[in-house]
Amino acid sequence: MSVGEVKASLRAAIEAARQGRRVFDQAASDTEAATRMADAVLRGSRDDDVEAVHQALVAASAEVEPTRRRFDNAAKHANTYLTRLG
Amino acid sequence: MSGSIAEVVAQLLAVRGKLDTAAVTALRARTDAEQALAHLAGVQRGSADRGLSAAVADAEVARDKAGRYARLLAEAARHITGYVNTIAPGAAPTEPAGGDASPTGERLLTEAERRGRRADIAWRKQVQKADNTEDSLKNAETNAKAVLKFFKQQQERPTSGTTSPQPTPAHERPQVDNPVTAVVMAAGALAVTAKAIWNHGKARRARERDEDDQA
Repeated sequence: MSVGEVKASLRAAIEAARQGRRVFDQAASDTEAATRMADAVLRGSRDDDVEAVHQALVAASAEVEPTRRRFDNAAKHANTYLTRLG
Repeated sequence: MSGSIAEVVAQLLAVRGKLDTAAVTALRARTDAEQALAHLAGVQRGSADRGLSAAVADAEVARDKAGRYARLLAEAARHITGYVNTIAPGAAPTEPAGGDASPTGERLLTEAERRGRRADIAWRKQVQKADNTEDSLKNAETNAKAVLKFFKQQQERPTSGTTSPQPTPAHERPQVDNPVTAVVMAAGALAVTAKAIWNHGKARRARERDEDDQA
């Protein structure tokens, strides 16, 4: 693999990671809106399915920041390596 | 069905539609991470750089977490269906019109993830098992196209010929079809991306072989 090919691959990887972050942000934003609506509609219910909905949405919410960070760090680390290649 | 129950059902079906859409979007993010990973893996061969290894590890976790996020949203959507059917039986069909043969969003999500993993494994083994890898990627690509074609036929088929067993408001929801189609598109994108990367690698190896021959 030539240096030029390595750089092209790194640039493609960085772009994919940045795009992934943007797309994931969209998913998270849509989910937050859906979660607010679900919380309002399902308030007070003790149904098993409702409990499961809440649990899944809380677990999903906990994944948002760590996932964003990984997308960002993938791009950042790849960019650092690209910069070092000159 | 009382007015207030109908209202709650309509709101929950709207929530379900949003969650389905968000799950598919998260799956697209997963595909992006997969693509970043494939590019990085190509660079990583022959390099022991720590920053590069960190980038690979981050892309792997981003891919896994985006996949987990999509699964959790699909799970929440499934339980909303369960609850809607508890308070208003039959109001939320779990299968799109077309019956057993038509795949649910969740099943397609699983399928797309499985296919993504297979493409990833295939990519990693490509040097050792060149011919087999190409075949499996070709199959994945063909499968994705076949599912997409199947689903298009389902959508295009006129509904007037058959009577619907459950004339509920849920059948009027346009959101059901779109996320499912989008999942199929995502599955296809995974396979096609892996194929493109594979082809790139193959061309490069061919060039390297030529250079070796000339040397």
